[in-house]
Amino acid sequence: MTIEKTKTIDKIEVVGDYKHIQVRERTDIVEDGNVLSSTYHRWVIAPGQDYSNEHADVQAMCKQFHTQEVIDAYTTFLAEQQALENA
Amino acid sequence: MATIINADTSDGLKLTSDTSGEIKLQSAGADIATVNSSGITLATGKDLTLSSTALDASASGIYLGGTDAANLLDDYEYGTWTPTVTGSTIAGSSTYVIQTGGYVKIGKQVIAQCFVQLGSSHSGTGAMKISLPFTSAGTSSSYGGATVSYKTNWVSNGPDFMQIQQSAAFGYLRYDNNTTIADLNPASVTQTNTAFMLIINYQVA
Repeated sequence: MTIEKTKTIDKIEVVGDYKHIQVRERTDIVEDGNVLSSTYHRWVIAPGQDYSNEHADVQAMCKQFHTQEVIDAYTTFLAEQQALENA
Repeated sequence: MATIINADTSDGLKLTSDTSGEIKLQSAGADIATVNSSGITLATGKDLTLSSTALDASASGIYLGGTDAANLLDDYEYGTWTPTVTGSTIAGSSTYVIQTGGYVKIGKQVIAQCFVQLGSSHSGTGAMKISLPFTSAGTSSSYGGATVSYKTNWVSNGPDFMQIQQSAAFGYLRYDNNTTIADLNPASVTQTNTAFMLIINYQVA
């Protein structure tokens, strides 16, 4: 009988006006090839955020969608929103 | 070899019973589902799965109360996320003694909780930001937020609520001293063992 824990990036989504990259990691507890239980862990990568420590597939998505144009637009949007909230 | 029943007429395939009868779907001799005059009932312990494809945001769903997009429930998920604290001007950093969060997502609605305890003062400056497990909606009708259910060891003006930034995956921790509502500057208000718990509610993009 072998029990092991495996982690896989099982979902990568591009979401919203500013191309946020949503990542879901699935952790499985597997006994002799049968999944006994699984859990999800999530995080989001915003435009301009460092993604150098992410999985290669996630890095590829960030590189494709987080262009300088998107990063600039998101930065401007946040600055405008914060100015409104503090007005 | 599979047994195929081919409905080769325009009327399709019909399985019928008399007025008191039932139609049962069985697997390995055990009931999976029953159709009767009341509706469809799954046997105890059996699930109905509406699948989605990994790496693909599209998913199957169920329409409740109508067939418009607003009636479609196509996602349910629970899990964990790791809340992080950053500043809006300088992100900065800190160590964490406790850094844990959980969420439930039902359709577009996310309900989450988190508990953060810093191991040292945070070096970030600007407004204090807390990360979220999903990107928030950008529509004008989707104002999310969080209540502070616990806080301790703040230098001054600890958080009273969190305002969720639209079209982003974070919220701003803010305070209200009955005179001023303002952001918290991480470097000014945190110290060793500064801690908080949040109960978060918002809609996703």
